[in-house]
Amino acid sequence: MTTLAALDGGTYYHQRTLREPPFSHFFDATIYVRDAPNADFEQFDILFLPSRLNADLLEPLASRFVDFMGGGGTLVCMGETHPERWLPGVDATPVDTNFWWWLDPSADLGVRLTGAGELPKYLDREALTWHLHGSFSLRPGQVSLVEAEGACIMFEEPRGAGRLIATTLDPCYHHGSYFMPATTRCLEGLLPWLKALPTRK
Amino acid sequence: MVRWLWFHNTPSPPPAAFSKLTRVQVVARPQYESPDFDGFDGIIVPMHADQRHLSGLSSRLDRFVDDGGAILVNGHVAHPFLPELERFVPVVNRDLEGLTLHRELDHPLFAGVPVETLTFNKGVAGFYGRGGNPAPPEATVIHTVGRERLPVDWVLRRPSGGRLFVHSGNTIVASLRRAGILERFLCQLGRRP
Repeated sequence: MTTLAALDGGTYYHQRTLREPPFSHFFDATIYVRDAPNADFEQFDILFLPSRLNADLLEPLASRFVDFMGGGGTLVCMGETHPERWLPGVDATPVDTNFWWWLDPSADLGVRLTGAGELPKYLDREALTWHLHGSFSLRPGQVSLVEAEGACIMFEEPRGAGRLIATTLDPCYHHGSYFMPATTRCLEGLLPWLKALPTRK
Repeated sequence: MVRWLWFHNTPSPPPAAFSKLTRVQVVARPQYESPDFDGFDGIIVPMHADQRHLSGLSSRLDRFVDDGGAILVNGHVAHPFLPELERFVPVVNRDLEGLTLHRELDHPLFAGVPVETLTFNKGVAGFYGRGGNPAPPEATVIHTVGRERLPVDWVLRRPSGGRLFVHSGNTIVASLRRAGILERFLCQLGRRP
């Protein structure tokens, strides 16, 4: 069984998303971010960095994350964790978030699954559509999983014996804040997808 | 000059509106730096604060209020870090009625600000509050939300004169700025007795 651990930033939205129903049972462990420097990541298949975990706290851990992926682990960087600031090989461009686009009934945020991998079996377009914070410019080896108006907002990439999954979507923050129901549906698909990924080699 | 300490826990800077204040100074300090509150009249706990860390500082925060300071709590309480705080209770049905704010009494902190302007942000309800951090009996409840009338904003004064204002939603600074009362609010709440 694939094991999933998350770093917990101690915020109220991390508490609700990681440590309370309906999603707490997906997480085999939560590691308080201030305990992370001494934590053993290697016992887990996946390390999940929830939305808005403070990038300033992640930066000193970057080499640990690189080693984790090198050893076969999967690192998941959710929106607003800004891996482009602390992980080599990630290029992201922020956008000014439009929180009100849906007030126009004919509007469409333009979010599409690319069809790559198993993700479309777990998520549909509606479960990925609330608002945008930015997009990635892909490098060789990075495979787009979700796009918005043609720009990548979620990708995966083999790294060492493991892999990197990164998105600019921030469902943990909004689900944890009781705001925007699509974000709860996103986690209902995303977390089972992660748990169905293969265990580390 | 009323001096506030802002517990900073995001990679983005604190609200730019602070730099325009003339009678109030807000000093942003990374949350995990030394908890030295000397020289401050108040402490702002933003919604992005690490509440697990704050619960470890609870005796210092409690003493700060007992010494006459003010604490402005934002967000949903998940890890109570003051004796008056309990865990957040969400509105069950988050439709328009469920997200509509009610002013339970007129209070000088919100004088001149119609409650409707707080409910809606560009026509959309829900930004201000989607539930309440339960208020203790001695608190004055100013705003509630939804059919359950859960307490979104409440304030209390301890016998020592220390004040606690609890806003059960996104950090209140942006709403106060839009209402044009940010400086007045921080002056009123932060001024020591």
